[in-house]
Amino acid sequence: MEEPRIGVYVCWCGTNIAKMVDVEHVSKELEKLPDVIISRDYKYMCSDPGQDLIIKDIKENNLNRIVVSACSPRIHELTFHKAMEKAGLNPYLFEMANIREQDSWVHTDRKEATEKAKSLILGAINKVRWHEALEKRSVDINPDTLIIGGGIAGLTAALEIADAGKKVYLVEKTDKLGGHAANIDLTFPFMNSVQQMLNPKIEKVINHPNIELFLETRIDEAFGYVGNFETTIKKENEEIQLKFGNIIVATGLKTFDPGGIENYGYGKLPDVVTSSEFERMLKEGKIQTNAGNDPRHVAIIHCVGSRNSDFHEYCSRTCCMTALKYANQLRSALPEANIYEAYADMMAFGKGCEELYLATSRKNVTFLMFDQKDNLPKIRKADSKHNFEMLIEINDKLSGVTVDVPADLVILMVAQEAHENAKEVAHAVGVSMCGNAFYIEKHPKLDPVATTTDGVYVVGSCQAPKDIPDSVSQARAAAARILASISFGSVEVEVTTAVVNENLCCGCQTCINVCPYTAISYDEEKQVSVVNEILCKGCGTCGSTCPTGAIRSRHFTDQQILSQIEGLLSTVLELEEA
Amino acid sequence: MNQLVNPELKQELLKYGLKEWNDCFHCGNCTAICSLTEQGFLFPRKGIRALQLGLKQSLAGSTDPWLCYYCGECTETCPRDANPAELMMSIRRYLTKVYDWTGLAGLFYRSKLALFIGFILVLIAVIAVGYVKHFETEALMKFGHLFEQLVILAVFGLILLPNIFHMFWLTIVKQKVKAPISAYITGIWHLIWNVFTQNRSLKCETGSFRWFEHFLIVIGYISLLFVTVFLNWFSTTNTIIIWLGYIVGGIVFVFTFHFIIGRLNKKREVTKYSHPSDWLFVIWLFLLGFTAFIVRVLIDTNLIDNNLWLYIIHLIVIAQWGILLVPFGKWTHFLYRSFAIYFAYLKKSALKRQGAI
Amino acid sequence: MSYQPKIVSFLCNWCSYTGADLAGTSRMKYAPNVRIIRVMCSGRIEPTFVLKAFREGADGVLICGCHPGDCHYHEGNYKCLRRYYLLQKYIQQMGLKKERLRLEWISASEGKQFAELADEYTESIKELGPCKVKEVMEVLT
Repeated sequence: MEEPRIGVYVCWCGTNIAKMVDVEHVSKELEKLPDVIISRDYKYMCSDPGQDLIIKDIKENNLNRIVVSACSPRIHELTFHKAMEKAGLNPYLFEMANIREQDSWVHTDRKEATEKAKSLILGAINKVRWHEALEKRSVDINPDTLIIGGGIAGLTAALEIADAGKKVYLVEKTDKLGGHAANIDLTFPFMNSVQQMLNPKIEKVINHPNIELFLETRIDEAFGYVGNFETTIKKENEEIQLKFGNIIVATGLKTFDPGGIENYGYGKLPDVVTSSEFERMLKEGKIQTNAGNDPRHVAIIHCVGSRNSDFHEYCSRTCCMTALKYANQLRSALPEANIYEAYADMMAFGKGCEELYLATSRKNVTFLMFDQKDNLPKIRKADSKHNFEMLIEINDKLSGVTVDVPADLVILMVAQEAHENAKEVAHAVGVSMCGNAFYIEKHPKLDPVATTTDGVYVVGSCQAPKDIPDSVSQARAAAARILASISFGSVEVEVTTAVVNENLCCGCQTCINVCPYTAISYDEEKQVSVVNEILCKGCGTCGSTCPTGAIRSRHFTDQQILSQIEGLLSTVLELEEA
Repeated sequence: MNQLVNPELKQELLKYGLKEWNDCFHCGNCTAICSLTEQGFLFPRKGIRALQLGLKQSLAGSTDPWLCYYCGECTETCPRDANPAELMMSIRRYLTKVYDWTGLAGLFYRSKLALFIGFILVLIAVIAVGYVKHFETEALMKFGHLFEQLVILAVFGLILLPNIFHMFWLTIVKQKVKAPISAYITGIWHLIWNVFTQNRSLKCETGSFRWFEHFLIVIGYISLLFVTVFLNWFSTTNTIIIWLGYIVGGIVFVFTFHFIIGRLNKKREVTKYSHPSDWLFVIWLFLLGFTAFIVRVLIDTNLIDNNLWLYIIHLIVIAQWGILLVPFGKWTHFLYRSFAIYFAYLKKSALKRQGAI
Repeated sequence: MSYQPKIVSFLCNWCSYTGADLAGTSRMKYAPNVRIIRVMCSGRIEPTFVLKAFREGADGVLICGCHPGDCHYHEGNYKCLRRYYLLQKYIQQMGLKKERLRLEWISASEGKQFAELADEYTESIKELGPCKVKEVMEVLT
């Protein structure tokens, strides 16, 4: 092995790191270490001049190992990999020390944070010594795409890809296409008819030569990796094998059942309805109470199941504007009715939404603000002396007075929540879920449709509650990503896989049992285990199971990690003495 | 029992000069900037909210709208152009209707036609009296003097006093204000002082000129009333009384003229928005001083017999003023505001006793 | 200054490391004693790693992985769990308190939980006092 010549770069990240970590001191200390040729600190390592600094040093000083201590490798590891490649160095001869997310941002004592930064960087330096050059491999891409879910997001993505001449398998668990959008009458804020937008799309999907549609179908676990997935889908008693290169998950969400909120009496009071039920009334063009009368007082209650720690802490995103849309539709349908909007906070961001709020407030709608945390409105039946059905007791935050709101019809703006079978799908395709069972995107800002599993994309409301434009943009974004990779023809796959040292392998086959991807097979002739590097995803479980140490998990080898532990627990002084 | 939310109240208030109620998003800048609001008497935001929700009891039971002198600073500060000052003004008009047991105040605010018919009827009645009295100067002036005294008695005794008691009932009794008896007595001095000076308005940002102008009109108006009704200005030959009459008549008509000009110019917040009732009030106040002035000049130049029609016009103005505008129009703000200060004083004493402020 | 234990923490790349990053982006504060090593999966953590950490002077070892059922590699965390029980027994035989090794599940969204865990674990190790493995080994060799 060549003598390591290490370059260490300590990033200030403006003041993000420099404020809590004495970066200049750290970089000076580290320079004393053996094999560390250069140690520098710089304002922003990820900036172009920062990267150029590394490239220049590599070329001028013949560096062969690089350590950047900056933010999380989950953010900028790839950035520096590219810089390494530019300098003609294998990108795997690189290690990052996370001194921002896991140091400067979480500690308050500058001295301690500086010590911790030093030890983290020492660990990284020790690890990088043992890094080896890994060659990138690429595989051909199967140009077919599997789309799970036939709502507005799934339909849009399917058409986008199919129109580009590529094959799409569209799997929908119900017997019709359109998802939640199909139940909606008009959209906010511009009051477009959903049917006029959706029906042509559905028609086109059904008749599209490039789209193979599977209704009332569920998918089984998808095996494989980006470019080459396969799965079995079940339709009635039939099982069909599908092969495809990419997956779009567009499974959407479901609405919250307000029966559990006692205050609202849903299920007990006949004229308390959910927003979905009211949407049906609108579509049928008949807004009536249970008894068949025209309501004279209609109350709309926001945040039912949202933004409340007892149910869902998050905002369901679309309900406020839908509620304003209802107020407008009610005003046209029942010009004389009194309309009340009881809200916790009005979420009116987005194009045309604040304007809708303003316009609605001018249509004689009474807005009441309640406390979502511990003072929910309470609906009770009105006694016979009143000429309306129900009374809603609301503590109006803006006046501090508890008032009664008369109501003949109450609409509960129910929360949007993940499907109960979100987990099944997550497992089938290998995406992670956040605490609310919505799928997690690769990066919340910079990579909002990809997931941590290459080749699997999440679009629409399965990722978080969304309105139609956002779902459509995500669908098109994912389609564009997939079409780009198809047109490229091949895709780079994980190179940090496991590899068997045949000389050490005793053929016990323990590794075969633990591999979740059936990537290891047994070579009867040589009597050793063999790793299929295409199937292997590099989790390393086999490596830690192997009793003889024959399996190496590339980039996370025993040598590398043990060395990293040593570095982490040493001090600069000790190392110097050594 | 909770109050019932009633969106229809806003619709009703539209007839009292309310323009838009939903612009306010309750930032509270108006209350923060107001120099008259204080703990326990927070306005104008609270009143706007009560109006938005249609909380009739809260509105009727509050003295707050009367504690405002419409300096307009809240409106200038409002980030939403919700015009809180004018909102308070509409609430005051509405309250005038609430207090009035006859229902005529409300009718005249809501219907211009009713008001017009009222004015015409009074006009016809005065001409009819003139006809009955054969248009004799002496007899008419004697009748006029008697009429003035009777109207004052009747309006105060039958309409305004019961209305004030109604106001007391709504703001003190129904709101369960438990003020100590001593406050009722010490408050009277407060009441009298404010009736004459209205010096609370000095705290307003509009400054002392507006107060001074207003003060002179009040004093001028009361003196004119005193001079004509009790000293019988038109029939006296006492030079001091005559000159006193000239001076106060002059004051009233100069400053009311200035008021009218202000409302035409719309330069300040307080004069920007004029409801018909505002116009009637300032114009009739002006006519009152002006016609009285002219009549006295005619008497002093012995031309009154040939120009009796001018006295009849004066009589018509007085009758319309006394029968329609004083009991049912904007004139009442003078009375309600003074008593609101008295009731607020009681409320404050009650709050102090509870230790709430 | 009071005794400051050294704690080595192994975090899986997909859940726990991301969770620890989230604690950072949310600017939560926790004890600086925890030093993190990233591995792709908690299933990668070999017993040797843990023992090496004690050998090099760690006072405690904290392993975090995805919640059961959420493993990015399907079941690596279960493998880790099995090893964990075994390892706890093993270090007890070496004379270490089993509390010096701890396994917790931290998901990518549990930044707060990670910060709280780091604090709580640091406190519990402080109570146990310094681990003598390194000194003993140095005397022995």
